[in-house]
Amino acid sequence: MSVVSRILAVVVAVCGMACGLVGLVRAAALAAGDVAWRPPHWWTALIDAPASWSAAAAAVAAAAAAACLVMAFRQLRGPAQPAVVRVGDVDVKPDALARMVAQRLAAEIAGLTVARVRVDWDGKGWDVVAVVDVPPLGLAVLRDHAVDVVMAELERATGIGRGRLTLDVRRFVGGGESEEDEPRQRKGLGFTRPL
Amino acid sequence: MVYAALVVVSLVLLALVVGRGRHELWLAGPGGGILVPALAVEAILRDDVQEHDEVVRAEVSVRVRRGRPAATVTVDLRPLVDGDAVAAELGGEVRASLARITGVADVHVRVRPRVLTVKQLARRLP
Repeated sequence: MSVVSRILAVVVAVCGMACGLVGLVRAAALAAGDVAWRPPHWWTALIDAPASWSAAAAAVAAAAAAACLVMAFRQLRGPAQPAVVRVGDVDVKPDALARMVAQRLAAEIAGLTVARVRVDWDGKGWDVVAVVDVPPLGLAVLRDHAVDVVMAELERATGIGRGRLTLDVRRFVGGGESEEDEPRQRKGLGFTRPL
Repeated sequence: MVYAALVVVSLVLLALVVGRGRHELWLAGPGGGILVPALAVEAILRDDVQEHDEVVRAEVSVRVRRGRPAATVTVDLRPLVDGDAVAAELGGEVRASLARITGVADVHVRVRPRVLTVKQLARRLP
């Protein structure tokens, strides 16, 4: 989720919550009786305005709602990936590159399992996202190694080896214990030990 | 009814947006970064801390601050122990574990010890 999407979602959620809470309070106050809570002036003006103005306001609200809906679906599905992208003078299939990158990552980095890889061309370099399972050991070193492996593979395949790799760790696998670690015994709470 | 639904939907949206960011660690580097589930790292560190003989209960929170992994460890200790000494010991262990997991030598660890009284310990007995 990009920063812009995140900010937009928070703004929409806060506005929605504010409107909902105001509506709830108003409904409760009106239900209690003896309260005259008229709609705000701008709402009355909008309702009483000529039909063309009301229709325009309704259209704007509907467009905003539709935009929110489309963005929500895009967020859930992820942006559509083109079958072929033009890189320089060459047409490249991102899916094929993704498979190559996944195989290379699994072969070069011990303990790493690749769940899925996505490769995009952003006009200047490759944007690679790999969802992986890794041992909980030396993650920064693993990241640097993975960047080297992926960019080398992309350079070998396309002649362009610059870009950005995001490793999205789905879960840890294996203990990540080094060989010199001694086997440990769980102590429990040990309440029987003298205090 | 519509207003209540609007509030609930907004709360869910907010939880999805804010909640996801809170539970992941972003370790950035040249040419990319790695997104790590914070809960998994916290579980490993908590298990390490709870193996200490003087620890009754431990909570660990891990964040990345200014690109540097940082852990806050809150521990309940047995009565009558030297809290500062145990905190220093645990701090060293957690620092080593966090550095080993993340592969970053420069990590920040803060330990908050609380030495239980005998009465408080008794309340934690099964």
